[in-house]
Amino acid sequence: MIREIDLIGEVCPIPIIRARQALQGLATGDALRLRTDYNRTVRNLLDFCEDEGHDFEIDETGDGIWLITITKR
Amino acid sequence: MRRSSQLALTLVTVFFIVFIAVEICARRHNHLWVWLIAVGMGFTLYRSGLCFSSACTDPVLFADFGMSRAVLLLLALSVVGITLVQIYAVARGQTLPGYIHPFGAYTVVGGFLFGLGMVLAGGCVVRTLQGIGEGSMLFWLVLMGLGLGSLVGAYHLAWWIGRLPSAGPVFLPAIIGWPGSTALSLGALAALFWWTLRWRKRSRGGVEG
Repeated sequence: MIREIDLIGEVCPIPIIRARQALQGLATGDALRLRTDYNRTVRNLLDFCEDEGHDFEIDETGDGIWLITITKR
Repeated sequence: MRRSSQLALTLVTVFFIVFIAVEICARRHNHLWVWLIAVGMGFTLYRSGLCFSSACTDPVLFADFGMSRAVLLLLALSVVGITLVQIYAVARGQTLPGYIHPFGAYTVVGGFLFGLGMVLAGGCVVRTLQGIGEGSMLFWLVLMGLGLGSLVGAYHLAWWIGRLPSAGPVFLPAIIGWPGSTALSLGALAALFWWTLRWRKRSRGGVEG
Protein backbone atom coordinates (compact mmCIF):
# COMPACT_ATOMS: atom_id res chain seq x y z
CA MET A 1 0.00 0.00 0.00
CA ILE A 2 1.22 3.52 -0.78
CA ARG A 3 -0.09 6.52 1.12
CA GLU A 4 0.52 10.01 -0.26
CA ILE A 5 0.74 13.31 1.62
CA ASP A 6 1.12 16.76 0.08
CA LEU A 7 3.29 18.95 2.32
CA ILE A 8 3.73 21.85 -0.10
CA GLY A 9 3.79 25.10 1.89
CA GLU A 10 4.29 23.37 5.24
CA VAL A 11 7.34 24.26 7.34
CA CYS A 12 8.96 22.68 10.40
CA PRO A 13 7.91 20.95 12.50
CA ILE A 14 4.60 20.12 10.76
CA PRO A 15 6.02 17.86 7.98
CA ILE A 16 7.82 15.61 10.46
CA ILE A 17 4.79 15.37 12.74
CA ARG A 18 2.51 14.45 9.81
CA ALA A 19 5.01 11.94 8.44
CA ARG A 20 5.37 10.26 11.84
CA GLN A 21 1.59 10.12 12.32
CA ALA A 22 1.07 8.65 8.84
CA LEU A 23 3.79 6.03 9.35
CA GLN A 24 2.17 4.87 12.57
CA GLY A 25 -0.91 3.88 10.58
CA LEU A 26 1.08 1.85 8.03
CA ALA A 27 2.18 -1.80 8.17
CA THR A 28 5.76 -2.95 7.62
CA GLY A 29 6.55 -2.87 3.91
CA ASP A 30 3.97 -0.13 3.17
CA ALA A 31 5.20 3.10 1.63
CA LEU A 32 4.58 6.75 2.40
CA ARG A 33 5.08 9.28 -0.41
CA LEU A 34 5.50 12.93 0.54
CA ARG A 35 5.79 16.05 -1.62
CA THR A 36 7.54 19.00 -0.04
CA ASP A 37 9.04 22.34 -1.07
CA TYR A 38 10.92 22.80 2.19
CA ASN A 39 14.51 21.55 2.02
CA ARG A 40 14.77 21.25 5.81
CA THR A 41 11.98 18.66 5.64
CA VAL A 42 14.12 16.54 3.32
CA ARG A 43 17.08 16.59 5.70
CA ASN A 44 14.92 16.02 8.79
CA LEU A 45 13.06 13.10 7.21
CA LEU A 46 16.33 11.60 6.05
CA ASP A 47 17.69 11.76 9.62
CA PHE A 48 14.41 10.37 10.96
CA CYS A 49 14.45 7.41 8.56
CA GLU A 50 18.07 6.61 9.38
CA ASP A 51 17.25 6.76 13.10
CA GLU A 52 14.18 4.53 12.75
CA GLY A 53 15.64 2.17 10.13
CA HIS A 54 13.11 2.94 7.36
CA ASP A 55 14.11 2.83 3.69
CA PHE A 56 13.82 6.11 1.83
CA GLU A 57 14.21 7.49 -1.65
CA ILE A 58 14.39 11.16 -2.59
CA ASP A 59 13.73 12.69 -6.02
CA GLU A 60 13.91 16.37 -6.86
CA THR A 61 10.98 16.54 -9.26
CA GLY A 62 11.38 20.26 -9.96
CA ASP A 63 13.32 23.25 -8.69
CA GLY A 64 12.76 23.15 -4.94
CA ILE A 65 10.15 20.35 -5.04
CA TRP A 66 11.08 17.00 -3.56
CA LEU A 67 9.28 13.67 -3.61
CA ILE A 68 10.24 11.48 -0.67
CA THR A 69 9.24 7.83 -0.56
CA ILE A 70 9.58 6.12 2.80
CA THR A 71 9.16 2.36 3.07
CA LYS A 72 8.31 1.32 6.61
CA ARG A 73 10.64 -1.25 8.20
CA MET B 1 18.73 10.91 -4.80
CA ARG B 2 17.99 12.62 -8.10
CA ARG B 3 18.75 16.32 -8.26
CA SER B 4 17.80 19.01 -10.78
CA SER B 5 20.71 21.11 -12.06
CA GLN B 6 21.10 24.60 -10.66
CA LEU B 7 24.29 25.49 -12.52
CA ALA B 8 22.96 28.79 -13.86
CA LEU B 9 21.84 29.95 -10.40
CA THR B 10 25.19 28.93 -8.91
CA LEU B 11 27.09 30.90 -11.56
CA VAL B 12 24.91 33.99 -10.97
CA THR B 13 25.52 33.72 -7.21
CA VAL B 14 29.29 33.36 -7.60
CA PHE B 15 29.30 36.32 -10.01
CA PHE B 16 27.32 38.41 -7.47
CA ILE B 17 29.75 37.53 -4.64
CA VAL B 18 32.80 38.39 -6.76
CA PHE B 19 31.16 41.58 -8.10
CA ILE B 20 30.45 42.88 -4.58
CA ALA B 21 34.01 41.92 -3.49
CA VAL B 22 35.49 43.87 -6.42
CA GLU B 23 33.24 46.85 -5.65
CA ILE B 24 34.36 46.84 -2.02
CA CYS B 25 38.02 46.61 -3.07
CA ALA B 26 37.53 49.56 -5.40
CA ARG B 27 35.97 51.70 -2.69
CA ARG B 28 37.09 50.57 0.80
CA HIS B 29 39.36 47.55 0.34
CA ASN B 30 39.97 47.22 4.10
CA HIS B 31 36.31 46.14 4.44
CA LEU B 32 36.69 43.15 2.11
CA TRP B 33 37.16 40.75 5.03
CA VAL B 34 33.72 41.78 6.42
CA TRP B 35 32.08 40.71 3.13
CA LEU B 36 34.05 37.45 3.03
CA ILE B 37 33.13 36.62 6.65
CA ALA B 38 29.47 37.42 5.86
CA VAL B 39 29.50 35.10 2.82
CA GLY B 40 31.25 32.39 4.87
CA MET B 41 28.70 32.72 7.68
CA GLY B 42 25.80 32.57 5.23
CA PHE B 43 27.17 29.43 3.60
CA THR B 44 27.83 27.82 7.01
CA LEU B 45 24.31 28.63 8.18
CA TYR B 46 22.81 27.20 5.00
CA ARG B 47 24.84 23.97 5.12
CA SER B 48 24.38 23.46 8.86
CA GLY B 49 20.69 24.36 8.86
CA LEU B 50 21.17 25.96 12.28
CA CYS B 51 17.76 26.77 13.74
CA PHE B 52 17.04 28.09 17.21
CA SER B 53 13.40 27.19 16.72
CA SER B 54 14.25 23.51 16.12
CA ALA B 55 16.65 23.62 19.07
CA CYS B 56 13.66 24.49 21.27
CA THR B 57 10.91 22.40 19.63
CA ASP B 58 12.71 19.18 18.58
CA PRO B 59 13.47 18.04 22.16
CA VAL B 60 9.81 18.50 23.14
CA LEU B 61 8.23 17.05 20.00
CA PHE B 62 10.70 14.33 18.98
CA ALA B 63 13.14 13.87 21.91
CA ASP B 64 15.77 14.97 19.39
CA PHE B 65 18.56 17.07 20.92
CA GLY B 66 20.87 17.32 17.88
CA MET B 67 20.05 20.95 17.11
CA SER B 68 19.98 21.86 20.82
CA ARG B 69 23.52 20.57 21.18
CA ALA B 70 24.60 22.51 18.07
CA VAL B 71 23.21 25.71 19.61
CA LEU B 72 24.90 24.96 22.96
CA LEU B 73 28.20 24.47 21.13
CA LEU B 74 27.64 27.73 19.27
CA LEU B 75 26.99 29.54 22.56
CA ALA B 76 30.14 28.04 24.13
CA LEU B 77 32.25 29.22 21.18
CA SER B 78 30.60 32.65 21.41
CA VAL B 79 31.38 32.90 25.13
CA VAL B 80 35.07 32.18 24.48
CA GLY B 81 35.23 34.53 21.48
CA ILE B 82 33.41 37.44 23.12
CA THR B 83 35.44 37.04 26.33
CA LEU B 84 38.71 37.23 24.38
CA VAL B 85 37.53 40.31 22.46
CA GLN B 86 36.42 42.02 25.69
CA ILE B 87 39.66 41.20 27.56
CA TYR B 88 41.66 42.52 24.60
CA ALA B 89 39.64 45.76 24.54
CA VAL B 90 39.87 46.28 28.32
CA ALA B 91 43.63 45.58 28.32
CA ARG B 92 44.08 48.29 25.69
CA GLY B 93 41.95 50.77 27.65
CA GLN B 94 39.13 50.74 25.07
CA THR B 95 35.38 50.81 25.71
CA LEU B 96 33.98 47.37 26.56
CA PRO B 97 32.50 45.91 23.34
CA GLY B 98 29.02 44.38 23.43
CA TYR B 99 25.80 45.31 25.17
CA ILE B 100 25.07 44.55 28.82
CA HIS B 101 21.32 44.90 29.21
CA PRO B 102 19.15 45.02 32.33
CA PHE B 103 16.54 42.29 32.59
CA GLY B 104 13.18 41.75 34.26
CA ALA B 105 9.76 40.17 33.95
CA TYR B 106 9.40 41.98 30.63
CA THR B 107 12.29 39.84 29.33
CA VAL B 108 10.22 36.74 30.10
CA VAL B 109 7.13 38.22 28.40
CA GLY B 110 9.20 39.20 25.36
CA GLY B 111 10.82 35.76 25.25
CA PHE B 112 7.43 34.06 25.37
CA LEU B 113 5.98 36.23 22.59
CA PHE B 114 9.09 35.76 20.44
CA GLY B 115 9.02 32.00 21.04
CA LEU B 116 5.34 31.82 20.11
CA GLY B 117 5.93 33.74 16.89
CA MET B 118 9.01 31.66 16.10
CA VAL B 119 7.15 28.35 16.38
CA LEU B 120 4.10 29.61 14.44
CA ALA B 121 6.31 31.02 11.67
CA GLY B 122 8.38 27.83 11.46
CA GLY B 123 11.72 29.44 12.19
CA CYS B 124 13.81 31.92 14.12
CA VAL B 125 15.54 34.93 12.57
CA VAL B 126 18.43 32.76 11.34
CA ARG B 127 16.07 30.23 9.78
CA THR B 128 14.04 33.05 8.18
CA LEU B 129 17.16 34.45 6.49
CA GLN B 130 18.12 30.94 5.36
CA GLY B 131 14.62 30.45 3.94
CA ILE B 132 14.82 33.72 2.00
CA GLY B 133 18.25 32.73 0.70
CA GLU B 134 16.80 29.42 -0.45
CA GLY B 135 14.09 31.26 -2.39
CA SER B 136 11.11 30.68 -0.10
CA MET B 137 8.53 33.45 -0.54
CA LEU B 138 6.85 32.43 2.70
CA PHE B 139 9.83 33.62 4.73
CA TRP B 140 9.60 37.11 3.20
CA LEU B 141 6.25 37.31 4.95
CA VAL B 142 7.87 36.07 8.18
CA LEU B 143 10.62 38.71 7.80
CA MET B 144 7.97 41.42 7.48
CA GLY B 145 6.32 40.10 10.65
CA LEU B 146 9.70 40.13 12.37
CA GLY B 147 10.32 43.73 11.36
CA LEU B 148 6.83 44.80 12.41
CA GLY B 149 7.08 42.95 15.75
CA SER B 150 10.49 44.49 16.50
CA LEU B 151 9.15 47.95 15.66
CA VAL B 152 6.12 47.55 17.93
CA GLY B 153 8.31 46.01 20.66
CA ALA B 154 10.83 48.87 20.56
CA TYR B 155 8.02 51.45 20.55
CA HIS B 156 6.19 49.82 23.47
CA LEU B 157 9.18 48.66 25.59
CA ALA B 158 9.08 51.62 28.00
CA TRP B 159 5.47 50.72 28.94
CA TRP B 160 6.54 47.20 30.01
CA ILE B 161 9.68 48.34 31.82
CA GLY B 162 7.65 50.86 33.82
CA ARG B 163 5.06 48.29 34.96
CA LEU B 164 6.96 45.03 35.52
CA PRO B 165 9.68 44.19 38.07
CA SER B 166 13.20 44.42 36.75
CA ALA B 167 16.84 44.23 37.82
CA GLY B 168 19.90 46.17 36.75
CA PRO B 169 22.43 44.80 34.29
CA VAL B 170 24.72 42.05 35.60
CA PHE B 171 28.26 41.85 34.23
CA LEU B 172 29.73 38.65 35.69
CA PRO B 173 33.43 39.48 35.09
CA ALA B 174 33.01 42.57 37.30
CA ILE B 175 31.74 40.34 40.13
CA ILE B 176 33.77 37.11 39.91
CA GLY B 177 36.52 38.03 37.46
CA TRP B 178 37.19 36.93 33.87
CA PRO B 179 38.32 33.35 34.62
CA GLY B 180 35.43 32.76 37.04
CA SER B 181 32.75 34.17 34.71
CA THR B 182 34.09 32.23 31.72
CA ALA B 183 34.28 29.00 33.73
CA LEU B 184 30.76 29.55 35.10
CA SER B 185 29.26 30.19 31.64
CA LEU B 186 31.07 27.27 30.01
CA GLY B 187 30.26 25.03 32.98
CA ALA B 188 26.53 25.84 32.71
CA LEU B 189 26.57 25.12 28.97
CA ALA B 190 28.53 21.88 29.50
CA ALA B 191 26.00 20.80 32.15
CA LEU B 192 23.14 21.42 29.71
CA PHE B 193 25.01 19.48 26.98
CA TRP B 194 25.55 16.55 29.34
CA TRP B 195 21.87 16.68 30.36
CA THR B 196 20.75 16.43 26.70
CA LEU B 197 22.91 13.31 26.27
CA ARG B 198 21.44 11.73 29.39
CA TRP B 199 17.87 12.57 28.37
CA ARG B 200 18.42 11.16 24.88
CA LYS B 201 19.83 7.94 26.34
CA ARG B 202 16.91 7.58 28.74
CA SER B 203 14.26 8.28 26.07
CA ARG B 204 15.82 5.56 23.86
CA GLY B 205 15.93 2.96 26.60
CA GLY B 206 19.64 3.31 27.26
CA VAL B 207 20.72 3.46 23.62
CA GLU B 208 22.63 6.56 22.66
CA GLY B 209 21.78 8.00 19.25
